[in-house]
Amino acid sequence: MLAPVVVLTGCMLLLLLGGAYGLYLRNPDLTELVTRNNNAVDYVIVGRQLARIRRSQPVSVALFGDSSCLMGIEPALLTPLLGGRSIESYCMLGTVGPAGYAMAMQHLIDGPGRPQHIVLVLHPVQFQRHPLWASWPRFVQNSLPGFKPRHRFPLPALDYIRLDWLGTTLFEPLPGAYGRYYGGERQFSAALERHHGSAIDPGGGLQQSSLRQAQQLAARPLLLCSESYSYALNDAFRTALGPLRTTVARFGAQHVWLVIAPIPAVNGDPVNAAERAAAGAEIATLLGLSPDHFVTTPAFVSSQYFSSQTHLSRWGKQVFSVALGTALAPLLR
Amino acid sequence: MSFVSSAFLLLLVATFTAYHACSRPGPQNLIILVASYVFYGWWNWRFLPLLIGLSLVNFYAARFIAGGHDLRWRRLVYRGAIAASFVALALFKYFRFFVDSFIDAFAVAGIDLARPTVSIVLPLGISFITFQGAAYVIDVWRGEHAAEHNLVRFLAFKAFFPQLVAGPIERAGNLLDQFARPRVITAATLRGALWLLVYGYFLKVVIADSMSPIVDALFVSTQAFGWSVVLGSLAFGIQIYADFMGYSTIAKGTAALFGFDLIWNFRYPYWATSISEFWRRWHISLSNWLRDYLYIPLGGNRYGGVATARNLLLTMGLGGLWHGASWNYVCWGLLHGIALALWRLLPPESAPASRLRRACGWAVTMTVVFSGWFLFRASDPSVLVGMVKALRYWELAPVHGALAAALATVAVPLLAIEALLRKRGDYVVAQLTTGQFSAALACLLLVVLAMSRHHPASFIYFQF
Repeated sequence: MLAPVVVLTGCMLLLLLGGAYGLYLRNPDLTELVTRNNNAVDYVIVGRQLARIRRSQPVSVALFGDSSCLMGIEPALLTPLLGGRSIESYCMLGTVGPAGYAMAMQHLIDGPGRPQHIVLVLHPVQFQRHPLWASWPRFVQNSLPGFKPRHRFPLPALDYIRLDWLGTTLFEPLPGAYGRYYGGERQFSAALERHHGSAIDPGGGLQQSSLRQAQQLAARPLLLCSESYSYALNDAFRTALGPLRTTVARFGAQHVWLVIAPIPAVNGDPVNAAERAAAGAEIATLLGLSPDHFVTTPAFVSSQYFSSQTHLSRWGKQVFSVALGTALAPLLR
Repeated sequence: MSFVSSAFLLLLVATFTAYHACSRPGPQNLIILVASYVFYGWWNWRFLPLLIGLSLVNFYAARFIAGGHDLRWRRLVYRGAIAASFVALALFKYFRFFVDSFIDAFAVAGIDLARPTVSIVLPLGISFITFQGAAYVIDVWRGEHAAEHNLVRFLAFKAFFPQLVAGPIERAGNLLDQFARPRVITAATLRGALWLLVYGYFLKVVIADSMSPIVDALFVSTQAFGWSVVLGSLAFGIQIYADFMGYSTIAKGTAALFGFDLIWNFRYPYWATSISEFWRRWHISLSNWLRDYLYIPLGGNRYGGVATARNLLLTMGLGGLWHGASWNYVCWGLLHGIALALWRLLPPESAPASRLRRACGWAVTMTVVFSGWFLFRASDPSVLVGMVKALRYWELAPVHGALAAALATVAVPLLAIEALLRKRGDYVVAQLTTGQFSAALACLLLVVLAMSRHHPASFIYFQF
C-alpha cells in the first residue's frame, strides 16, 4: 500500500541529494566547508584568517602574530593614529608559530593584498615552543589553495545543506565563552570581518559596559594570580623563526616591525623588563631586523585589563591599541 | 533504544514485517511484546525484570480487585499495588533527592551528615511506566475498566514500545482495548503514519536538536547577558516542545504502522490564550492523569477558592516533581499552580472572547510558560543564580542577532505548519496526491538527513 509513496519519495530524495552534491562541487572554495565543519575555536580562527588572506585587498599595514595580537589590537583604533592608513589583522594563534605566520605572510605578499608594512606581534608564552604544536603549520599549509578535501557522495551534499544553507541561520555555538558572545562560526567570522581581522576575548570584561567603567575597575586591587613570565627562547622557537626570516627578507626587512605583547602588571618586575628587551633584540636579530624595529610599547598593562593570562579584555585592547598606534606613528611615517 | 538510531529503524522494519505477516491479534500481540522488551532491554537489560515485575503486580492486583473478594482484602491489594508502583518510583527516582535534601536541611542547622556513596541508576521511562500501571489499577478499582485476563495482551499494553519510555501515558480504556481487537490498517492509515514519522523526526532532529547546543551554551552560571537569558529561555521553550512533541508524533506514527491509535499528547500548546488552556494542550496524557487521579480526588474545585488554590498548587507541585528529582521542577510546577489559581480569579470569559482579550491572554500565558521554562532548564542552583544576575546587563552581543535569526528560522516554519494543520486537519499533508505527498516527505527527509549530521541530543523526556 505504501510502495508507490516510498519509491517516489526515495527517488525524489536522491534527486535532491544529487542536486546538492552538484552545488557542492561547483563551490569555488571547498576548504570553506572544512573550516565550517570544524567548530573548535582554534581551527575557526586560523581557518578564517587564512580565508581572509586568500581574499585580501591591498592594505597599508598588516598585523601578523598570535592570539595576543588577535585579541589585543583593534585596527580601527590604529588607523586614525597612523594617518588614516588601512590596517588589517591576520593574527592567529601562538601554536601556529613563526613558521606558520611565514606561510600565511608569503601568501599575502604574493597576492593582491601585499601590504606596505608588516607588524609582527608575539607573546612571550610562545617563546617556549611546544613539540605538540607542530601540526599547526601543517594545518596552515593544507588550508591554503591547492588543498582539495575528498569526500564521497552523499556526505558532502548533506554537509553543504547543513552548513551552507541552513547554517546561515541555524548556528552551532562555538565552545565556551566564544559561543556565548559570538554564537557560531559564521557570527565569529562576520565579527572578524567587521573588525578587520580582530576579535575580543569574551572570557572577561564583558560586564563593564564602557572604558570608563573598566578604568574605575582597573584602579582596584589586582585579581590575577602572580606567576612570573619567562622571556627565554627555546630551540624550537628559534628554529621556527628560520622560515619567517626568509619571508621577511623577501618582503623587505625595513618594512617589518616587531612588537612583544604586554603581560599583566601583576606578573611584571624589573628583571622581566630586562629579559623582555633582550628577547626582543634577539628575535629582531634572528629575523634580520634592525634593532630599532623592535617597537617600544608598554611591557605591562594593569591586570584588570586582561580577560585571561595572555589576552587583553575588550577595554584593555583599546588601551593597548592606542599605545601601539602612538608608538608606531613616527616609525611608519 | 532511541527513536533516533539505526537500531530502532531496524527493529521497526523487522517488527513491521513480522507483525503484518500474521493476521490474528494473538500472535501480533506477542510480536509487539517481544519487540517492546528488545526495545527496552537494548538500553539496559537489567531493568527488564523491573518492567515485567511492575506489570505482573498491576495485572494480578487488578484481577484480584475485580474478582469480588472481601472488600477489605481488595482494598489492601489495591493499596499495595499502588504503593508498589510508587515505592519503585521513589526508590529509583527520588531516593537520592530526598536524602540530599534532608542532609542539606541539617547542614543549614549546622549539622553535617555524611552523604551516602551509593548511586542508583534511573530506569528509562520509570515515571511513565509507573503512572500508566497505577492508572490501570485505579480504573479497575473504581470500576471504570474491566480487569484484563490475557497476560500477553496486558504485558504488551504495559510495554508497548512506541510509548514505553516517554508516553503518552495511555489509559487502559484507549490502548489496552485496542490490543483486544483486530487492527484495521488502510492505505490512508499508513500514509498518515508515514507523515507522522517524518514530521516527528523533523521536529526532533531539525528543530529540537538545532536548539539543543544553543541552549546548552547559554544556560551556564557564567552567563553575562540579560538578552541571552531571555533568548535562551525562548530557545529552550522551542527545544522542549519540538523534542517532546517530536517524540510523541513519532510514537503515534509508529503505533499507527501497527494499527494502534495513541492519543494526541500535544494540541498546539503555544497557541493557548490562557494558562488553563495551555495545560489542556501540553502533555495532555499527564495533565489528564494529574486531573483524574490527584486534583479531583483532592477535592478539585468543589470546596471554594482557597481549597481549589491549594489543590492546584499541590497538583502542579507534584506534577513538577514528577518531571525530576530536583527543586527547580517543583518551583516550575508551583509557578504554574500559582498562575492557574490566579487565572481562576479573573472574571469568566465572555463567549466568544474579544480579539484583544485573546491577544493579552496569549501574551500573559506565554510569559508564564517561558518564565517557567527558564526555571525548568536551570536545574543547577549556580546556573539559576548566575543567569538571574545576568539580567542586570542588557548589552547586545553578536550572539543575540544570531539567536534571534535562529529562533525565527525554527519558529516561523513551525508556526506555519501548525497553522496549516490546525486549519486543514492533522493529516492534510498525507491527503495530498502521491506526487505532492512524496515531494513533501522528500524535502523534509533531506533536511532531517542533513541535520542528523549535527551532534544528536537524546530526548529530554527520557530522563523523566
